[in-house]
Amino acid sequence: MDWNGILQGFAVALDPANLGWVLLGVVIGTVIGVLPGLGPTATIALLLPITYGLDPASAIILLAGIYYGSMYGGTITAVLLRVPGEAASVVTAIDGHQMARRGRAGPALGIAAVGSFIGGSVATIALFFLAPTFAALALRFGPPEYAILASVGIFLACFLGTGSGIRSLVSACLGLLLATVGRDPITGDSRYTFGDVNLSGGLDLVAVAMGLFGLGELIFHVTQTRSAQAVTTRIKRIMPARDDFRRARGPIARGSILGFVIGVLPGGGGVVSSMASYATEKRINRRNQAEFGKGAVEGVAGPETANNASSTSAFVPLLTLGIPPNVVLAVIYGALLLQGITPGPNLVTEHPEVFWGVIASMLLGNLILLALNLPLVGIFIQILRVRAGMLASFAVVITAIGAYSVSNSIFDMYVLLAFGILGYIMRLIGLDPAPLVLAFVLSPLLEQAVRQSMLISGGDPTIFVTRPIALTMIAAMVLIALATTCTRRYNRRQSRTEPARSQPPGGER
Amino acid sequence: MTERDATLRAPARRDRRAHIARALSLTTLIVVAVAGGWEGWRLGVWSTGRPGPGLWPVVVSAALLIAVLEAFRKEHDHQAEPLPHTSWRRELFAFSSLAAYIVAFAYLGAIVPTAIFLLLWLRFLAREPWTLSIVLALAGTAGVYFMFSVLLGIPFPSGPLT
Repeated sequence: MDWNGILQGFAVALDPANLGWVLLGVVIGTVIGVLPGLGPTATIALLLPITYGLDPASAIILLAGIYYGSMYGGTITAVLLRVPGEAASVVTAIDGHQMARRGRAGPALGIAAVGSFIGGSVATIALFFLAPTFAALALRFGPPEYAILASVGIFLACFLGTGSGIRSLVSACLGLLLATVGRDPITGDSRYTFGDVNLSGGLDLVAVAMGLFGLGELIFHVTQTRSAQAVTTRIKRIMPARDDFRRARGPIARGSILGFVIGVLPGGGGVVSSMASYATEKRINRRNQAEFGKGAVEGVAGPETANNASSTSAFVPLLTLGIPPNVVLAVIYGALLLQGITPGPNLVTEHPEVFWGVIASMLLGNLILLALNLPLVGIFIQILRVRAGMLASFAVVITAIGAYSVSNSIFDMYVLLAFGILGYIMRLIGLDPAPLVLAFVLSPLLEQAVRQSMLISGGDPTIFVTRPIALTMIAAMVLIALATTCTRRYNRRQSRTEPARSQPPGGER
Repeated sequence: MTERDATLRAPARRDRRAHIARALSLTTLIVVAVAGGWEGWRLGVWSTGRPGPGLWPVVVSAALLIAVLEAFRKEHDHQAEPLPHTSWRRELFAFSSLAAYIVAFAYLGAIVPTAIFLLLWLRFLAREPWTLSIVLALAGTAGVYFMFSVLLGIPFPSGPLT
């Protein structure tokens, strides 16, 4: 355990300027978490050009704050309106909203905030201990291992997600292909540039991500005429009762561990972990099983804890392997690249201030969120009064000028527009743009690893399956894939045989 | 489930739209994969004892093709999902005004086009009243100028409308 590093991290995180950035980050995160339609990916992409001028540690501290702050914000609308502000709070909406309907909105939000704080903190502390070990392990990886790891990451991100796996894979392959536009980094040949000079530098990640998530999403929302929802719930007391705490103890403890583990896995992150936690709690709490779906406090505490723990531990693969496990971290990876920092096993030795500073700031950020959320929930709800169209108008202008500002290039604005249209179409036909962006970010790394591996083996593709570490990774992936398929099939059969009765199923194991 | 109700009301028309969208996207993706693979092959998969610039594009294009065909095969017997409700006029307005804004931004300068774009969006897409739209458009332009030009020091392209 590296005490020096941890101390340095706190020195960075407690720097007044960085305290300001983490505060700003978590507030922005909470706000956009509350606003449906503008998720953390779009916001982080939107702010990338602005973070360019900051020093690397501050930039990532800000962006990380937005990420886990949005997890808190998403909870608020999930509980009050049954509208998950971002994907990870989908399951919270089930029991959280039921609690709200019974006049227990306050305790639901309170227990979610406490759980999130504990989950985030446990995961941060675990990060302190485990991240250096991961980095040391990663140093032993060669190109074939990296190639496998990155492919596994993309594959799992596609199949563990909520949408259709095969469709996500189509989206991911498109991302891999789009990333090859430009000059080949090794031979210098132009690929898919159509003779255009602007394209020879490749497509800019900021423009691509802002187009797909920012623009595509904003226009999708502004063109769909939906009426705004008003919050009618009054929040009386936010502090959960002693009985709530007693019941939430187990779910919070399990959610912390579950969330941490899932966050570290490639493809893991908020959504998967909150769903896994909900399923676990429902299975474990036999006595209250009938209450699930009707306002069980366990169904709020567990998933909320897990999604915050996982959004923290998702930084492990990013900071130690240089492989972002999900799309939000892929954009943060882009931010690091913009700063001239390549995340990977050497980050901890080359840029300890970034590595430890970011981790330490997450502990402070969670504390700030707890302090902010309990008393200020009422104010955050008021944000919902801002009309969507108004917000979108400003956001589109900022997106367009933001794309320009990265390298003062009008061409990037056209790229933004093109990807905005693509993102819009993808949303219409039901293709998730998230795997595209993740794969787009990972493609250069993957290509380099594949080419180096082929060079080592002299063109023999068996190199990917004959090295022990690589083989272990493949075996692990097959196991995970089998396990998820079996669980899904099992769950489907369960839900088919189990009639819609309130009575708890007795035969369930 | 409002979407479902809508499908029940006008099944034939919605189905046709969804089918056309699906066929179009499928064809486009296949064309992209084949053309991508072809160009990759032309660039050279393997040259002088080392992987060429086309190796990765060929691998990726092949993967894309397989994924697209598999997705098609898997979902073939399912009914095409209905497309979400959208109004093509608003979409067209949103995208074409943005395209015009970018052109104006490049040739006429940043400030006036930004104000006009904001006004158009606020008035016609967000449907805010005129006065509010004008006030917000002016305030928004000032805010954007302050943030990018003053705080971040981004040199905006200059033109007749600055």
